[in-house]
Amino acid sequence: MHITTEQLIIDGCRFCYMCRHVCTIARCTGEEEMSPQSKALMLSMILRGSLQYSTDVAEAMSKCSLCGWCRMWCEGKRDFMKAALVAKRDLAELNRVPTSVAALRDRLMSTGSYHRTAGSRRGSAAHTRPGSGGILLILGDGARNGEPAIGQAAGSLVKKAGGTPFLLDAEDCGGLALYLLGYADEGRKRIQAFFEAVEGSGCREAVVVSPDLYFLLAQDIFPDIQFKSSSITVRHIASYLLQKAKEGALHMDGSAPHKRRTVIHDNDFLARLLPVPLLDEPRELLGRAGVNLAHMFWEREKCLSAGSWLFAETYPQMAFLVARKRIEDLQESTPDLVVTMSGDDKLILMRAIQERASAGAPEGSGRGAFEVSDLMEILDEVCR
Amino acid sequence: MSGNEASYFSVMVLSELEDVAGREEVRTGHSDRLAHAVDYYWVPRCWVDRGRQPILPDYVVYPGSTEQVSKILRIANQHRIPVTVWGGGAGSQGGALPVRGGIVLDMKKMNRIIEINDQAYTVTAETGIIHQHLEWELNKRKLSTMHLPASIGCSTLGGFLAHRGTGVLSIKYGKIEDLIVNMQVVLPDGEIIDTLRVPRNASGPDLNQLFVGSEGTFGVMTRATVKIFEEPECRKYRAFIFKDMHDALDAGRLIMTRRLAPCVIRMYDEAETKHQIQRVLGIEKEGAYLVFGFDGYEEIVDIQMRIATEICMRTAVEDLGSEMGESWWTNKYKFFFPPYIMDIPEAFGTMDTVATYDKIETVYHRMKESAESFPGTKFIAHFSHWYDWGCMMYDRFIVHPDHVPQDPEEAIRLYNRIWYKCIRAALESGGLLNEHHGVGLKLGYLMREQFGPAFKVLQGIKATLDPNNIMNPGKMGL
Repeated sequence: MHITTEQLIIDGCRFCYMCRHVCTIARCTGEEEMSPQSKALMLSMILRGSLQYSTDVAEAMSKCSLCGWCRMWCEGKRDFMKAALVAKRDLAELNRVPTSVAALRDRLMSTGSYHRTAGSRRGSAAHTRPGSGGILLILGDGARNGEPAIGQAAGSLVKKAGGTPFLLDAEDCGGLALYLLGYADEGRKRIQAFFEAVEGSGCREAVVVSPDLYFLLAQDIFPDIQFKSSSITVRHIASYLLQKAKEGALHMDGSAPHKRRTVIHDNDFLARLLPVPLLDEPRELLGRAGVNLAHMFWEREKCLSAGSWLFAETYPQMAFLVARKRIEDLQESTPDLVVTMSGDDKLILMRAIQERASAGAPEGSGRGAFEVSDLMEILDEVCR
Repeated sequence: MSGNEASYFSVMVLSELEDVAGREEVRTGHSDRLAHAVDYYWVPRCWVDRGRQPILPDYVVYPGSTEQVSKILRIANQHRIPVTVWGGGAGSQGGALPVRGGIVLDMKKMNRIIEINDQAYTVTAETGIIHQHLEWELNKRKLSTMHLPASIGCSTLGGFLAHRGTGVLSIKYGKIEDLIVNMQVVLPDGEIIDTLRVPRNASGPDLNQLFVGSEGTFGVMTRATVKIFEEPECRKYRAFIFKDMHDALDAGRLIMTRRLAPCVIRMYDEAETKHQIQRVLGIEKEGAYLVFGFDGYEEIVDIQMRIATEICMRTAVEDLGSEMGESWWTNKYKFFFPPYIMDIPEAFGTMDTVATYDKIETVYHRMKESAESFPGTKFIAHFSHWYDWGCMMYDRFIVHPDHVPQDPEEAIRLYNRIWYKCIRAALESGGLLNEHHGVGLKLGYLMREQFGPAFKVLQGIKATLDPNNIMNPGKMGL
């Protein structure tokens, strides 16, 4: 059993209740079984031979949105998210994963994407070959396949900033997802291939749009999938664009500001899972662009997850619950516009808004209605 | 019930519960039941740590309304099925453990905020709300219940009411029993009642105070109105080191009896100053650490701070200043995270007693002597909640793992022997069973010794309200 390696965390968390209120799933469902403490108790009993990995346990371990609040909150630096991931690895090896997880694994193995079906290849932003000063633009699944307009806007922005964007022919986004679902070996292989493609791109600089792929390239949580390279530097696109704006290479039309009241929907990976959170750069960019940016209680590291695409694919009803709660949080600050940091987040929010509307909630018009747009789309509108 | 075996009878009951709460909200899966079988009490923790199976409820029900709770209690009464109410499951006394199986009513889906009244300064909410979630909603409006215990993130409003909880600012703002304005309760027979609208009246005994602290034995509190406060203009702290606990205790007593109205005083005995203050705050000092705080209008706070500082400086050996006081406030919950908090394989208990100022030191020494008479056992304490007549002692015994038997049955015997000896020492020298953690399963056995003939009053109330003894049987000695 892999969980033996995480006994310190598991035994520390099994009787500790200090992060219950921040656990996205426990908070949105109100269910005891969903709390990190309950899950740790199960794992501690498995470690002691008084409980077996069962369908029940598999469901509980898989119902985690990977929001990262528990690890961020813990004063004792116990990272239960990591222990739950190792349990998922055990479950995958025992072939006891929930059916929705197994189905997603099969799809990821065949397409490398949440959004593409087998055999399909959706378009993306402009392709160019790398040349001197070429920027490797890593879009990720959401911006490349889910909401291609975001990828196109990102490519356009890099060009406006004076760069020459280059896209990988095959940007496999499934590796991290497989790894996080518990398919560690399969995930690692794909991640390694992705790392090699990044390094072999010939570019000296990579700019990443997708929060999950940026996390993958910058993270320090999982040593076995850490990206280490001396030939290419990796930056999130918000950091890249901000630097270009400060250098005067990216011109923003701040004279025609967005009058709409705008709030940012932060992303889990960027807000809570990176070694250094990426929260200020998008705000500074929007500020420079003259956007009427409002602050809200539930922002930055306090942002409630919209559920992540991985979670939305495996537990759509629960992801909808989370997204619905997020919409309620956002509505409190009465925005006209919500800016997302990822294509997947945009799609999840929009889907939840549609589902709420079809259930009779006041979306589309009247109080609480807002538009959702991605940071790349907003910036592309105001940059010259 | 409690055999945990499926039978046609259990399916009959299941159908009735599903008819009330909906199929999704009635759980019989093993993980759901397991999640409601262990709380913060050391005994079940030790039990499962040693590979034993905890006592599972037969059903976990998530009610969505007071009316559903009422119907569920009628079903339970009809079939004589035990009902245990579960909030956050974070109690340290075993109060929420379903030791006789039956139904666990998990209240966490009854978490709506019904009204924030900014004229009367009250909030009305369903009792299943996690208290930190309630606080966050209030904080957005610059308001607070000022009920800030370490368990704020895991416990529910109902849980605090059920065991007379307290928070770090209790000295100024009160314990939960001081904050309650009114409540709705479902009696064991399913009848729904409301207590009087306001807590100050001359209309007979206070029903709020009957249900507060009743730990789910008299009914289910489903809705409560509690006081709220504006966030103060400022809150300031100052910390000191005293030669010993005696001097520090006396300084705290003077601050309280001179009615300076601090929002917090916390004083750690020599052992805990060395053990915990050093570990969590990084302050390496010998003696007793004391921190106090005042909040409100800055002009007034400055005067209060000055006078309290003068009192402390008469006997303190060192003024650590405001920064070391702020540090305590910033880290006040850190003490409760692993690895800072005690944990298995140690055996430990937070005994939490209260006494008048003339007796509290004797209580301390008698309890310390009792605890440390057991091999490998140390005693530490801090004084957390202060009144104008006495204070509360948050005292703990900690048994070194080498002295805790591996056999869980023997470990529990040792554990209880320590408890009995320490609590009897407290009762004999002027203390009480408990100040804010409650009684639960752990201390029920000693309730008669504490109350004497007065315990009949509680038994009579229980027999009248719950003649079939379905509500949290085996708890509070009832």
